[in-house]
Amino acid sequence: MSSSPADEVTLVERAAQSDPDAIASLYDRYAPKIYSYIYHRLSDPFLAEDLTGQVFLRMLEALRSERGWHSSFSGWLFRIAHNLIIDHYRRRDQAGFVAIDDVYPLPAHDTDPYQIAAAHLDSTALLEAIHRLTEEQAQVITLRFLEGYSINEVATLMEKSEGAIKALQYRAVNNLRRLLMGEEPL
Amino acid sequence: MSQEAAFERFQQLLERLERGESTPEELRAAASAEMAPLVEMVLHLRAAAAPPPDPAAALARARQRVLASVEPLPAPVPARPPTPARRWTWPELFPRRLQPAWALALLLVVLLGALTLGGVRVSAAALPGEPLYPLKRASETVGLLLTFDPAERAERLATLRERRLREIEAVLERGWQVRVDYEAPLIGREGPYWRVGPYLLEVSDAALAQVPTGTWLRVVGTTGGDGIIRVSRWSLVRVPPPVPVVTPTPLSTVTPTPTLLPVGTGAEESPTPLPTRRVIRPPQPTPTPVPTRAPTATRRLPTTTPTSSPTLTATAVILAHTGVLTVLASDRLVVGGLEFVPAPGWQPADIPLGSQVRVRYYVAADGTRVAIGLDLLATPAPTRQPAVVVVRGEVTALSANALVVNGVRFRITASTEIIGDLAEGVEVVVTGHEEDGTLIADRIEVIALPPVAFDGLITSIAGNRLVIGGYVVDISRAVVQGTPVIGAFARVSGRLRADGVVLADRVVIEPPTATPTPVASPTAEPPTATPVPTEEPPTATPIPTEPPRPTATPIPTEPPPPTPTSAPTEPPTTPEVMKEPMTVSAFGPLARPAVFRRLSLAPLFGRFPGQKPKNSLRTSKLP
Repeated sequence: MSSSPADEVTLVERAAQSDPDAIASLYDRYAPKIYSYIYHRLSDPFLAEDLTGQVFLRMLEALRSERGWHSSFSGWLFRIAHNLIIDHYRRRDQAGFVAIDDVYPLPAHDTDPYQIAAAHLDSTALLEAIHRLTEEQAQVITLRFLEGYSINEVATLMEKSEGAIKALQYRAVNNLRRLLMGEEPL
Repeated sequence: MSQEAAFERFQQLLERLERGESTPEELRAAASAEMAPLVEMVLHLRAAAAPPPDPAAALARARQRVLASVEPLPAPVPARPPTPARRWTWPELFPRRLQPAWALALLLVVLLGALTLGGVRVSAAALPGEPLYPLKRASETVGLLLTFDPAERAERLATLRERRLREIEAVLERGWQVRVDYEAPLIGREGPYWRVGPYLLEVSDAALAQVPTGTWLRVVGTTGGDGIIRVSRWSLVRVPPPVPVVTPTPLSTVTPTPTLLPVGTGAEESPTPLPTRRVIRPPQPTPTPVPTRAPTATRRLPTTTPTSSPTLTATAVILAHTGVLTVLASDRLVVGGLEFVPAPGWQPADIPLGSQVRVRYYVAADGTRVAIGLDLLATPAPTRQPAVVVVRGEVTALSANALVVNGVRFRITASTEIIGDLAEGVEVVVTGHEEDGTLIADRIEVIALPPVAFDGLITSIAGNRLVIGGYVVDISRAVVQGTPVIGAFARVSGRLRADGVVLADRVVIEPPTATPTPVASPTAEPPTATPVPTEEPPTATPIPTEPPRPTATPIPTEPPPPTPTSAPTEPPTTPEVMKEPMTVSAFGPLARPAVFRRLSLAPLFGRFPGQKPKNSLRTSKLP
């Protein structure tokens, strides 16, 4: 969101022509944000990695078939990411198997794995509650409070007015609080 | 407060927090009763918003995946004949004064390209004399050129020096005669040879005798089968200023090589993988500890401290060698295949054999490696049986080296056995094992069974095999909701096996209705007269809800005879309870494929257009 629109348009046009440099530039520019967004929705670094790659693969596919973005390129990317997250949850919820999604893959290095596991457990309830919000509410909670975007930025990403985002944010926080307290969302 | 005002007020509070104008406590105090719980929720969210674990590696992998998918589009066909292109001459393209720059740029592009394509990775293990070795060296040079931070550059240089020594070690072990080069300090003369670093050199140039020991040399020569390097040329690299140190410093790296610890350069505080640089000069009166950078390796367990090296000569260079400890005796120790003699007066600590250790030593005049210290780097890893993991489910993510099944990520390695066409969305059974915290897929089997969904009455139960709606259903792996009883209505979703048996994933059973429909046995035979196996409860009357149409039952292989005289002892309408699971062949060879084709297209628990609500598959199929 920090680059100039003209620069972005040029890059996207070049990417549509399969220019690897342009694709790499777009990737380097947006992948960390997309990864972080997906990570905060799924709390799984491996899935975040896979889905981040998929976001850009879908981006390329769409650009090549001239199905592209309209007003905000970054917003479009976030929507692709959002759809992939929804797909993931849908598949997970439809799976008739024992829910072993909770088996959190612990990396074998860096931090104490027990610490990671504890943090994961703490965040699980929150993630589940976010997952029970409406899609737009979940998106606004993630972007505003887990990703730290401003109202203005979220409005751009979600292609809504700032007023709409403020209302969405208020209701989302309220519903999330209710869900965490065991109440039904309004 | 109106809703719009509440939205606005809430946002104002958040902005105070975001701009750092209020602390969380101040915000809590400022929030009204209505806003307070929302503010609390936001504070909780912000606290939970831990940054993801360092995503650099993950992003790099995903980047590679994305870029690997890039296929150039076909060049557009020009609409009109292009104008003749200007013919560039070589000097125009590459002006003489820019030719070195062009050459460097070209080299960088080529090498970066090679780096991207993995060529360098392939060449990483190349040794001198091997075809890929020049590529390895070139990539190192590029890496060095692109390293601008002095500390990082120094670290990289030290790593490369170590690598050269490792390569020479490997080359000598193999007895190859190849050209090598390396940098190391001059240790001294040993018989007819010179020792520079860990290796003996045959040098014809007498000028070497003028060089003081400890001087760093760059040596170019050819290895011989006798372990001696014939030097073609040598040059001075630097003469590091000696730093008087007698206290050993902790080692911070784990490198499986004979590591040269050059004479101290005063750079002990700089981040370098070899923080043990020092020279030992016995006459120094006050030993001072060397300030060292905190080691980053977490496995290192410094356990032993060397004694005050009793027999060191002036300017002796301390070397280090890392490897597995295989012999530990009072008079000798062997580390990584090299033999050492303990320094007089020094007794190495009792370290379990098999441990990864670093031995510090110097080379005596007679060539003996004299050990003065032994550091335990890692104890031998306990051998444990790797846990076997089996996960069945849908592939939700797939890349060249990993797949995610039911949220569980497996790494795909070269030895992973893949059976079937692996793709996202297919169902697989993955058998793997855990290795260093990562699950490695040993075998991935794609379950290529078509999904089916149907419903019908339970007409037979034999262990885990039921006949539902006329189909043999294996429920051994299914999630069964409700209790299977004869006559109950069941909805099944699962996969159709090649032998016609439905492997159920899920079975939802509705109990038989409370108002039993009249028993509609086409024959007047009482239930007791039927060949019902005794294990069945007598209440399990044959198909209580079955419409009284004998043709609606899929079970009998023979249509009921019109005249009871032909088979008086075998009532034709009582096949519901079977001793053996019924086979699909009972349907007849012609009817089955069409049914299953339709089944395979059936949505989960859905019905086909025009399908009757219950048991319609069966009734629609059979006349």
